[in-house]
Amino acid sequence: MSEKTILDVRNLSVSYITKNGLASAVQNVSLTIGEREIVGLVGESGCGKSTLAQAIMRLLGDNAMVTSGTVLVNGEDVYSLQGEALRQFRWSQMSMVFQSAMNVLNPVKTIESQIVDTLQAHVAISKREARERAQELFALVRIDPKRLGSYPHELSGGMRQRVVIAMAVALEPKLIVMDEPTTALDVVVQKSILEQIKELQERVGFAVLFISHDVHLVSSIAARVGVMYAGQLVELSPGASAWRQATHHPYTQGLIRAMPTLLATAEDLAGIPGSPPNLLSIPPGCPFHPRCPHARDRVDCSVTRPQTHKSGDTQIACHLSPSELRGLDHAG
Amino acid sequence: MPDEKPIVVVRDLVVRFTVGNGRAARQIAPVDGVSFSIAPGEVLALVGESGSGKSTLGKTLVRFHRPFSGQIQIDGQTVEKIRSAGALRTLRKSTQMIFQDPFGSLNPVRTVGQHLRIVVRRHHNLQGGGLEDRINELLERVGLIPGYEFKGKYPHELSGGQRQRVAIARALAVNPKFIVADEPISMLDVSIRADILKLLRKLQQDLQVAYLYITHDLASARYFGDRIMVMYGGQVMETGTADQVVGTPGHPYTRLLLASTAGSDVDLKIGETSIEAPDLFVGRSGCPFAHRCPAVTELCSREQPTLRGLPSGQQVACHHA
Amino acid sequence: MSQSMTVARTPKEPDPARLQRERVERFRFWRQLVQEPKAVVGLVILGFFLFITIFAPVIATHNPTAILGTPWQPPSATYWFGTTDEGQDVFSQWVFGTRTTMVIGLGVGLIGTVISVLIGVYGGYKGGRVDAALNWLTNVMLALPSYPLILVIASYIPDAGSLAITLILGLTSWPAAARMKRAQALTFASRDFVLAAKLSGVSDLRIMATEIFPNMLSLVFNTFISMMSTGIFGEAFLRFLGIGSTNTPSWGNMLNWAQNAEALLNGGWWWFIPPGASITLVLLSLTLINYGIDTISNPRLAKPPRLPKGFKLPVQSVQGGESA
Repeated sequence: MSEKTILDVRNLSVSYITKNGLASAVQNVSLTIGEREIVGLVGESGCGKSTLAQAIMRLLGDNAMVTSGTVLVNGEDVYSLQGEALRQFRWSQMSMVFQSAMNVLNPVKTIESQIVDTLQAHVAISKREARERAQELFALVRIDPKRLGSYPHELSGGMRQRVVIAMAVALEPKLIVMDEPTTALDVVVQKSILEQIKELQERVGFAVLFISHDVHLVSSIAARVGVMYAGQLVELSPGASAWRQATHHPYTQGLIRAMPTLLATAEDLAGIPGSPPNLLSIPPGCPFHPRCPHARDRVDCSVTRPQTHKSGDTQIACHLSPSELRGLDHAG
Repeated sequence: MPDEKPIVVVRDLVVRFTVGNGRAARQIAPVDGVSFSIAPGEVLALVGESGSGKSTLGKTLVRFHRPFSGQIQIDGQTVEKIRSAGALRTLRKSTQMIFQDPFGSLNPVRTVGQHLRIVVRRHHNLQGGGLEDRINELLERVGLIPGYEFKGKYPHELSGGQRQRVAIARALAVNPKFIVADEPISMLDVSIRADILKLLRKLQQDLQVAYLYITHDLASARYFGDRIMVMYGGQVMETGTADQVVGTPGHPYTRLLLASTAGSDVDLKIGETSIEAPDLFVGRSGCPFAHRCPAVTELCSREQPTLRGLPSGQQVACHHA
Repeated sequence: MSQSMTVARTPKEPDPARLQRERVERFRFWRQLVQEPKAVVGLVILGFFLFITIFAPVIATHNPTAILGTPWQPPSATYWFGTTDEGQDVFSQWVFGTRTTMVIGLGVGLIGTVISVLIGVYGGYKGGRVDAALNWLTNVMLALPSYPLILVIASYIPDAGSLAITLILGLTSWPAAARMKRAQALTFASRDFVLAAKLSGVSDLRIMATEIFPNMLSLVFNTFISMMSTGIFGEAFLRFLGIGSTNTPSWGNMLNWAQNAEALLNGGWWWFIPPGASITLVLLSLTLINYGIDTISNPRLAKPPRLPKGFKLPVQSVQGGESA
């Protein structure tokens, strides 16, 4: 299927300026997302996934610098857009859903006025037309349009997140970046939001970059899953039904084993010892090697950075070959 | 085990709060008639979403909230009537709590050592060398090795997992028989959650500590809990052994939770009515889950169901189980 | 199960040195303060006046109240700030006046801070009826217009000396600060570590003193500095209006005397400019110190960090955000 590429991140590196030097939060990450594709990005705190999301949306703070690479959304170089063009580009071509709806919604304005404002800021329509569109959007995310006149605090957490998703979809962008959109919600609400996202995506037709720390969640919803560690993309594998059979990077294997699931037994559960490296001084070699159970007998893991091996749909950055990894995974 | 006297007995516990001011003031009952018991060294996993009353229940057991009615007995002590500070202190020798936010449960301007020193000194009457040894011992027991390296650190210098270990060490300092663990891993990074759970389990085995493990995640409840109690809207919906509740769920709400938890084979579509919050106001009638239940009937909104035993062994509060 | 040490430690550093460095971390606040330029300027100015306060008798050249020279002399070698309408040395007046006014300022700062801490923290922590009562008291005091109140009280006390002025100002200026303390104490009272301390059996009083108060230090400093400003300005205000004893030199009194003697008309600028400028400078210095503390306590106010010197930036780098 020759799909158009909506997001093309090439060799992107982002660093933060701290008084102790440059902390490299994202290192040489390359990623593509096709039209109507859901790609997941998994990693724990500090791995750089949020920084990557902000870099794509060009929402980095003043203390961050893009030190190399490009971000192309729908063919446009995001970082060469200026002022008004950038403003128009945002939200109509790409939008974002944040973790906490309360960070996005203005507590002293009704939901309706916020949606209307967003619409009118980007498209020249009348207030009446904007209100009608707001009702359509509410119907899309299955909230009673009567609640349009409510204030954010009057809605439940799940409803608020639906409103935020509705606002992100409002201008029918080609790409929506979702940064932990369901993390703060209860598990049942979370499932309903995921169902909603899938339904919306099929109906409206946009690509999604779904970021989360929950590897089981992401692998169930995404067609492809990327795994980040210490700013590097260590794995990019097919998700959904192919996830279980796919070969995984040792870090991913660790993540999968670390979360209790209903199927796993008590013996399967294991954490990953140690903690992520200090981004100001990442040790040489593979960033994961101090914590990797397979690196003990190998010299190259602590000396040289691993190349990214591509085998089929999977790409893994590891010194061990895919067949070696497969053997270790099913044995461990 | 079944013949041993339970360490925790709770009967018909009700906790009420007043919300709103003046004339608009109303009462809600986040805990509305809950009964259970925990045997020594047993882990009871309390599963519920936000608004289920699970946190309120946990905090009431350590007397942060005053019960409206009902009885609580911990280690033979009657808890609900405690008023004097002295009696409260005695209770807190046998009961401790671990909180959800590892950073919030530690004082930012005190070192790890200072946190532990206050507790150990008070409860064990130790001083000087003996005191420091005991602190080192506690730290190493929770996996912070070597203890003396961690003593001088401030909370902001530790990782989330390390902070939670300090909180656990603090709880252990009084040799409690019962620990209320309120979502102890939900704010930790994924790769360290397993280790903390394993630590709690090891302490359970080594020290015979009973736990009330409060969580919203059925998977970790099954992993850590000997028995599971599912709460909704302040009431118990289902209770039984971990295998019973997860393997053969009796209550529609349990099935809903299972369907939303990773790795289950229950396949349910969540309708939009399934995401409303429960009504906690005093004076509501019927089953608290009626407003969301796919199998709801008229009886459900009228009459509150009581816990009944099922052939598979667990107890379910449902008219149609 | 043992938690391995965090991977990144600056290698090759011997252990004792690292422990020493960590002990010094406790004074991080002070070190940051002296690096913040606004605070440094403020501290220098304040330090100057404190120096004069402490060493007043040594610095003053003459007896401030003695009539020594010809009246209305401009600054000269003998009388550095000139003379008054009666022939007194203005410089010595100013030196002792500095002492008087600064002591009043410090006193008001102390009283105001202590009262606001006691009332705010106790009410905020305890909650319930105690809090309701203290909050009501605070609100009542806040509603009373402070300066008219001060004037009324002061006018009842004939010849109010420094102590009386200090007490009056201190006892009327604490409400706003108390309200802020209460708000902060409220947020801390429900934090888990306070609950954990209660669970450890620590008494309420100890919790307030050792758990809550140490976390409020930057607000307490802010309050002290604000109260001190109130004290200095208040003293000048009252004495300039002629309330309170007008015998001992103070900045306010100097302004009062100069005003009464029509110094402006007589061209005696050297009499009112030193006290006036001093008041302005001290208030300015206190404000700058406050700004400095705010910048340190609230990281969002800080300027984005500049790269350390000598750091080479890769060639084509783009600053994040809007500026392309």
